[in-house]
This record gives sequence, C-alpha cells and structure tokens, in this order.
Amino acid sequence: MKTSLTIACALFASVASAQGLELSGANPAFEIAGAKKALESPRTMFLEVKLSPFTPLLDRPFLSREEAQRPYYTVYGGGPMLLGELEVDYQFFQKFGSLAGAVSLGYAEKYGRSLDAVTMQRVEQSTGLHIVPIKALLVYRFDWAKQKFHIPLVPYAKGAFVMMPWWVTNGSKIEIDGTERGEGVKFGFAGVLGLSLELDFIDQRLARDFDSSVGVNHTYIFAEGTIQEMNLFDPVPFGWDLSSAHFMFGLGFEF
Amino acid sequence: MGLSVAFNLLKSEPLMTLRLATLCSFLVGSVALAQNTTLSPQISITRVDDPNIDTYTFGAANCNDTITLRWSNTLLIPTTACGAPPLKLWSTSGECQKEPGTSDVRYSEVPSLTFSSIRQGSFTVKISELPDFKNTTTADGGMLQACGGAEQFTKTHRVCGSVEYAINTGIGCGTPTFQAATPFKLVYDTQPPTAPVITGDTAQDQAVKLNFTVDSDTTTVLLEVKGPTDADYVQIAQGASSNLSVRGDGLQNNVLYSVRLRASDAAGNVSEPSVEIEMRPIKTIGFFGVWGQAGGTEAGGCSTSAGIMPLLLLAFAFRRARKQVRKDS
Repeated sequence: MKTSLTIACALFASVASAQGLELSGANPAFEIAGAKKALESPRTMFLEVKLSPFTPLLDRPFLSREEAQRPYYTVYGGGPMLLGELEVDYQFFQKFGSLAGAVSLGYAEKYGRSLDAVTMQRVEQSTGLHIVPIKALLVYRFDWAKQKFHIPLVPYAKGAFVMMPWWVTNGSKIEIDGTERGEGVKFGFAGVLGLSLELDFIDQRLARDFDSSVGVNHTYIFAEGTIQEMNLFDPVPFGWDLSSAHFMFGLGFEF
Repeated sequence: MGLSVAFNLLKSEPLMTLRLATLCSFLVGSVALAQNTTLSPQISITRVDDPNIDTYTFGAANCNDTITLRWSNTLLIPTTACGAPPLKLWSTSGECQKEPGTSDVRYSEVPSLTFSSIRQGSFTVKISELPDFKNTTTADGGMLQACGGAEQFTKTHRVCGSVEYAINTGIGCGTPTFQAATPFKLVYDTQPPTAPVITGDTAQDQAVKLNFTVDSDTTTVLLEVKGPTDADYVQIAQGASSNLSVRGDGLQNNVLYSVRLRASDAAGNVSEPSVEIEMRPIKTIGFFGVWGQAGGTEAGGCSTSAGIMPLLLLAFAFRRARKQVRKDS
C-alpha cells in the first residue's frame, strides 16, 4: 500500500513537472511576465509588523547635567525601551509609486528599580514606563521601479501625526508624585524614511501561491528611520519629552 | 524506471519535487498511522463541572458532599454482535483492577448501547459511601479512620471503570480485550502542610514582599501582618505557592509590622505560622517621582490642550472634503 502510494506520488510529480517545463519552454519570457501580472490579485493594503529599540528623549532637558543625574539614566540606565508596532495602509493612488493613508498602533515598556525616597538607593520594587504610540500617517512608496523593472528595493517616506498615551507605575500602581498622577497624553509629528526589500525573488512560485491562496501580493523586510518630535505643542522647559530618533525593523505584506 | 523519473524530476524542478515529496511523506505517514491505530474504547472519568481535572481533594468539611462525575468514551466501541459488554464503574481504596473487589463500592453499569452510541454520561459519588469511609473495619479486622474524624490523615480513593469487549472480525468474534478507564482520584486530606520558610524579605512602598519555600502539599501561601495597635494578625494577601513570593500592600510607611506566612493545601488545611519577622514599609519613588525631583515640570493628564489642534484641523479638512464631494456629485 505504502509502495503504491509512493509510486503514484512520483508519477504525479513527474506529470506536473513536465507540464511546468513545457510552459516555460514554449512561451517567451515576456509572455510569462505578462501572464504573471494578469494573474496578480489587486493590491490596496499594506500591513507592517515592526520592532524597535526606542529611547525617548526624556533626558533631553537635562543634558547639561552629568548622566547619573538625569532621570531616565538614573532609573533605566539609559537603555532603550522595546517598541512593537502594527501599521495598516490603504493605498489610494497607484501610478508613479503608491500613496496611502495609514494608521498604526504600538506599545513600548521599560522596567527599572524604584529608589528609596530617603537614601535614594535602588530597592526591590519595579517602576515601569509604558507608552502607546498611535499614528495617523501619509505614506509614499516608490515602487514604480519594482513594478516596471522588477528591482526588489522600494524606498518610502512617511509623515505622521502622533498621539502618545503614557503612564508610569511604581510597584503595581500608577505612580503619584505629590498631587500629580504619572499618566498623560502627548501629541506630535513624525517623519520616516525607509527602504524595503521585496522577498518574492527568493521563491517566485511560492510568492504567487501566497497571492492566489491568501491574497498577499508581495512580502517585504524593511528598515526605517524615524524622527518624532513630541514636544511641539505647548512646550515647557523641563517638560515630559517623548521625542525620539530611532530605527525600526520589520516585515511587510502588500495585499 | 522509478529512479530515472525521480532523477529527472529533481534536475528539472527541485522546488516542485520538494513540495511533492513532503506531501507524499505526509500521506504515507498518515496511512501507516491509520494502520497501526487500534479501534478500542478510550474511557475517561472526570468531573462534570471541569473535565480537565482528574483529582478532587477535599477535607473534613466535605464528608457529606456528593460529587457528580462524567464518564466518556472518545474512541470507537466494538459492535454489540460480540456480546454486550457494559461499562462497569466503581470506587476503591486501592488501585483499579479489571473488576470491582468485594469491598469496593459499585455504581450502576452503563449498557453497551449507551456506551457505544451516546458515549458519555454522568453518575454520582457520595463521599461518605467511599469504601474506607463506609466500612469501619478493614478486611483483617483493623479499624478504619472515619471521614470527618479528629485524626489528621490523607486517604486516596479511586473511581475506576472497565469494559471487556471483543471485536467482530467479520468471520466471528475476536479474543475479548480488557480496557480500563483513566481513574479519577478522590483525595481526603486533613493533614496541614508544613509551615513556610521565609527566605527573603523586601520592604516596599506601603507594602512588604516575602520570598519563601514550601513543601509540595502547599498550593497557596497566606501573608499575615500585625501592626503596633493590632490585637492579632490579619491576613492581607495570598499567593500561589508556585510564585515563591507574596506581596501584601495597604500598609503604612515607616510603621513597624510583624509579618508571617502560613501555607494552605488544596483541601483547605492551613499550616502553623512561619517564623515571624519585623518589617517597616518605606517610601519609594518611581521614575515619575525621580523625574519630578530632577525638576521635570510635567503636569500629567492630557495637559497639552494645543495638541488637540491638529486633530481638530484634520476633522475640519475631512468635513470640507466631504462637502466638496457632495457638491460635485
């Protein structure tokens, strides 16, 4: 039984293989490219999943002081937070590159040790900084060269309005300093420049299968640099500054 | 012939070949697995209210309880043409055997038709009628400890099930095969766990945190404190023993508290208290406090009213765009 099934599989494979060879041998390359394009499903959306070492510039107002006297450095040692973000784009223009409106939602956190209020020594209690960046974005991807000449690199630029709810915990509760609760929302703008690499060239057949079965036209990996200024509105000296300049890395799916 | 086909295939379409080979391995594997699977009943006995629990641990307060168990058969049962084997259910104070013993307590048998077609049902077990609680003496004349008595002891009963069946092979009935159910355990436990050992303590802001070790019987650790004006200890927190630490808050900073732990097991037996220690919660500052002490002027809350402006502008632009679309249409 097992032997006959194996032989049947081998025969089926050879038939399929022969069909494939005949197709590629009989048709010129441009016809195949044309057929591939015709087979491609329409693409209107782009989904990005990304991670970043994200260091908010909370110590920026205190740069004149020594590192050990800056609050973020004192509690968190100056290390970055881990930021995860999910972005969904809707492409409304697709002629010379594509233009999209997008929204994104992220979450970043960092934990350090609280300090004894008297001795200012670190104690066995954690204090956490939590940030939820929410962005409304306009995205331009220069994918014209990729579509026309199959160059797998797509540079892109984004502009974003950013809303950033944040909160600080001491132990398990929101920290209260005097009468002020350690929570709030900041607003600002961000600019992004990035470069994505289309992965379809690794296995074009698999990429086509991914499109025909799930509807994902192209898959990318990308790296992008972000500069966000969160202290533009109503700035105060020594204000809470969640601005940053950071890189993000991730996976993108165009569908 | 087969080899040359495979060779040509590998040369011309390596990726396609890889996919088909994977598919073939899967198919061949599935067939082999199906051939090796015995079509025998798989019987389990669980609680009706939580099928994932196979043990019920109880204490002296539960001696008059009745618990409802569910038997279920997840695989095929042979045809009744080879006899009509009922599913036998019983409780025993020892290990489950093929058949109930003379001192075991039997429950009503499940007819094979029910067993093979409906495949699940329920029955009740009275704690007070479990073999070692129903009888007062052992087979050799010794005295049994009673449920709810003053003695501290642990006793495990098992609820067993079994069926003996034969498969119709098409030319007659095969050899009868015995199939046992996974037993359900009823554990009577009036023995408290040993007291926890405090291995570390940390004074926190309006709170204390203790690290501990406990014995394997312990499921929960209780944290008790006594303030300078308290007459006795008060339990302020409890935590799972697997956490190895428990934190209690709601205390006052700079006040000296006596702190101790107790262990509790699944049956609710509580241990003697641990060694007591003295702790004084301290005022701590987190990042927001450090920020404030450094001179930060953040007021918290949605402080930047101007930050709403871009949202308002966006809403205004959106409204205008919609109006324009309406005009154009």
